[in-house]
Amino acid sequence: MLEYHRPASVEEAVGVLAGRPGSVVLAGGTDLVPAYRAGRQSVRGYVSLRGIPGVGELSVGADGLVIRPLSTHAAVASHPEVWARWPALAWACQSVGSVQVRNLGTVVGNICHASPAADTASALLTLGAVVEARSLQGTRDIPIAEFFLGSGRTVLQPGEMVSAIRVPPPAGLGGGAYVKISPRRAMDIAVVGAAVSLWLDENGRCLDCRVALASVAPVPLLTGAGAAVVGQQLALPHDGTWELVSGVHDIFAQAAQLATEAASPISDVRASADYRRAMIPVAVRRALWQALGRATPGEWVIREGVQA
Amino acid sequence: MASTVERFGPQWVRQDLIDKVQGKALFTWDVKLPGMLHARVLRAMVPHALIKRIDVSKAAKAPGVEAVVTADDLPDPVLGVGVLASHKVRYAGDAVAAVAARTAEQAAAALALIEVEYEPLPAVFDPEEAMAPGAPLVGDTAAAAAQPEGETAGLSPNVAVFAGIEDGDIESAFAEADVIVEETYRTQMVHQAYIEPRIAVAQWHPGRGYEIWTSTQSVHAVRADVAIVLKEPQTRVIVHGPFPGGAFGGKTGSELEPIVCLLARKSGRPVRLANTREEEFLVGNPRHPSITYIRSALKKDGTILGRHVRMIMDTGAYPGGSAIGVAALLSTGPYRIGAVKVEGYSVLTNKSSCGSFRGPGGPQADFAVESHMDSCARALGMDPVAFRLKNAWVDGDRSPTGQVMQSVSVKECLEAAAKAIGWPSDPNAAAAGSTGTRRRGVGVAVGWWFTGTGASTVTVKLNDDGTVAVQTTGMELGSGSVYASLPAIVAKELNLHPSQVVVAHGDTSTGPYDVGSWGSRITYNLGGAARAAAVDLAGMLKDEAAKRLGVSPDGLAFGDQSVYVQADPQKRLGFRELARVMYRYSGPPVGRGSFVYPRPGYDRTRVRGDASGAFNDPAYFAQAVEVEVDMETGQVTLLRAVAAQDVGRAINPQGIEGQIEGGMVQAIGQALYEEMVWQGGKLVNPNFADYKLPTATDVPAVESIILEKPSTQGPYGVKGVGEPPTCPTLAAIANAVYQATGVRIYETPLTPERVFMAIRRQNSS
Repeated sequence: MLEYHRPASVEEAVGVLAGRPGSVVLAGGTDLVPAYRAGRQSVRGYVSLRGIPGVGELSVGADGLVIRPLSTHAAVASHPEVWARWPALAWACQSVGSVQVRNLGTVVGNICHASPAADTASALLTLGAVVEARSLQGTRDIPIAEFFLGSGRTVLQPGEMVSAIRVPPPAGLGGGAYVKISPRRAMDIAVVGAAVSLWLDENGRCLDCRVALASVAPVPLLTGAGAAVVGQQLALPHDGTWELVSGVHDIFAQAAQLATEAASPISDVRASADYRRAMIPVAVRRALWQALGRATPGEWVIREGVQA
Repeated sequence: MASTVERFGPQWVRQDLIDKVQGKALFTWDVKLPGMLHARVLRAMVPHALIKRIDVSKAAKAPGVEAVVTADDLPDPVLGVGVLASHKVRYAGDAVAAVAARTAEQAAAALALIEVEYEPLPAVFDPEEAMAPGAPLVGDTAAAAAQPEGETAGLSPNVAVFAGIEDGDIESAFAEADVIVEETYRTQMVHQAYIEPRIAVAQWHPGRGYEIWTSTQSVHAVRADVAIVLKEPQTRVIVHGPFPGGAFGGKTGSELEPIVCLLARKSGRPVRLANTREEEFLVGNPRHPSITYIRSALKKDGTILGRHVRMIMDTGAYPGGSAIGVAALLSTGPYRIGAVKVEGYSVLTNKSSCGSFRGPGGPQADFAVESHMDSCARALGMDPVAFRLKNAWVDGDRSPTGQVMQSVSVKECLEAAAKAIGWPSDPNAAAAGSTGTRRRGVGVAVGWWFTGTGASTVTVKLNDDGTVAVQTTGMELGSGSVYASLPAIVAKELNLHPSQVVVAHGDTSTGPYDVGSWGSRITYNLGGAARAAAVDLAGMLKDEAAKRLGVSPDGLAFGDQSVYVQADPQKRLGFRELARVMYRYSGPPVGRGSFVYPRPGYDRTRVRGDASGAFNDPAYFAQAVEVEVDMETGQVTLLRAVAAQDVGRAINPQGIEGQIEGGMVQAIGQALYEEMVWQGGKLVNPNFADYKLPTATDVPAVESIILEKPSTQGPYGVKGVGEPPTCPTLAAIANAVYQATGVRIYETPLTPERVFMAIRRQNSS
């Protein structure tokens, strides 16, 4: 008989997880319920988080963003502060499934499901998020780059659940983007997804840049491609707006190339490895340009001969 | 955007709409009977194998199980081929056994206890390999293994159907050509993807036989099939057709019904059997994949001297449907062509059995010939629209089979669609001038399609309060052809408001015969029968009124639910009074009607095998689209979609627009997104995550243009409506992609990957 638990606190929840091995945490249910109905998942029971006060809260402050287990994609994607400070995450959440899925599905659920195609995972990788795992033994912090082990597998131990994801504040003038290449505009899984977060100083020099990819490796992949961008002059302040400098096109192309080299795409029913490999640089370049655009708001000044 | 000149009748809220909107309408899914069991089917997981042994003894003893059936429970396993496999399975999906239990979960658990021992056979998945002599034989009877003769001599017996057309001297046409264009087109297997899977509930009554509720397009087709397979007289098979939750050609015959009947009889209880979505993908009679080799002999001035088509359809495990016969006639297009040769083959393979999907054969043939027409125009340096207009049929032209075409409107439809999309004055220049990452183009395609035939009968009964009931077994699939068109037609003949006419939907034991809701035939045939029945009743009412009023029936008319003397409208008899006296004294006020008409003639010497000889009262249509192609990803975005369709006479314009929009969107799905993907005899994407239907965000609003050029025989000039919108879309989109990119895509769907790879190949060559 399938068990259903509805604990009133996180403490109680991890108690159930420890005491009833084979139980899984049920958040939005957008992955678990269809899997159960299709007979693809055998579990002892579900531990619903719906009875825990404050478990869906989203906190935004000077020390960053805290996403809790029942924070939905819609909640994240509709938060103005998230759009302003962590745009890669906002765009990634906005690209998940459909309105209905975003209203139910959670960011924590998305990363715990650990699909290589997880839209929010690559965005969180670019933002240096920290996953807070809770068990009867206490709490530990896991950098998200160390969280994924393989398709459907994470470093979470039996009896552990994710109690929060903490996203640090932006490190400068921030821009970010998530570009998802998929046949449909909604209800689709990324053939290739590219997340970019970059930060500029007030003179337009890149302080940091991170590029992560979805659907091109066994896990959501943080690449080293940002190295091609860090330290580079990407724009110049110009009368309250920004002037694009020459060479950005080549810098971004180089980053796209590095990202492509980091990937190990496979062929499946959604796309061939060949197509995925060809789409990585396209998605990365587009994400970089969008991210730069968001870091340098307003109409760009583009001098003749400068390629945008 | 209905351009109807004159409304046929008033708009009103048809009787099934509010129930449907409020979720109260009864679908088969909702049927629940007391004590009902739930069944599941065991399906083969191997593509081709002999069944050496089936042992159901453990399953029969499993918790909750009340009955288990296999082919051994059929009165005659030969009659049950395709229902329950007796000695051989032909594809991974063939039904082998079924279990009825108290819950669906218990039935599913019991399936795992059935032991089936298979002896694998070599399998064949590619239709061209399957055609070759020596290919593994998919069929399992001696007749199916007989060496073919005649047109298919030398080929494998896997060729289930040949359909050929020959008109004129094709050799000389190619010898005299200035330009020859030769191409190959391919289409994929796509599924109807209705919301409600196949589902049937059956009950066995020892005194009166089987009673069935099923999601179907034809209660009479199910009755006929079940009666044959279970060897019962038709009087002992009663079939009810609640509203089907979508069908699109997928529910034309029986599939689950004989199985659920066997289970009901064996268990002595009502049994419900519903497919899972995965099963539905396997057994849904999807659209035949096709390969079309097409070449044309052209004169520099744009004359088409000859066209040769060789078309191969992959029909899967069983020879379902007549798609190749229809496609053969469609495959050269509605054009004047000097000489024509068509060779069509429908070939068995070890995959799902293909059948009828909205316009069977239409999208395949139209994709090939209408893409090819653009290629021919480009090869000649002509405008594709002008090239089509130069060669399109007009009244009096003859089809390749010698049918004299009447009420032809190819040109009117094409001109309307091209105008609406803003067809460029120089499309070749537009194609050459397109640069940048996102490129736009427009494309057109035309088509023609028959109005389906077959028997329809209707009874129109005057109730004793003066209202009117239309009795029918015609299945309402959602278009309104039954619940909107029939009341509108009967109301027209009796000068009533359509809301005063109620459709009384019957089962096979109580309702008048109708062959089925398919082939774009309902408003034409059932509407014709309804008109005949209404005219029959009108005659009775006038005769009775004439007798009682002492006047001649000629001067009588209908109005306000009464019959009156036109010259003296005060002299009248109400329907209520007429009903009262007629039921009591002079015979029932019940009109009966069938729709009977001669079939069009053609030249039989030009037709070989199963090719369609003539198209009954064809409809003509054209579609135009504007696309944007992302050159870096291959993504095709539809910006605009226009459909111009000649419907003959628009009885129900709102319903027609629904059919045009829905049909075109379904074809957009085939053009850009959908494909049933097979790997080694296994369907790898039987779910809506990886079988990609277009979402609301992927399709633009369809602009429908309704044209009316009356048919020769349909009631009020009606032509078939439902299937045409699926036919030209594939080519219209591919043609627009060509104009945008200069790259011709020869295979559907035009997925981003396929378009990207084609662009990359062209750039590197």
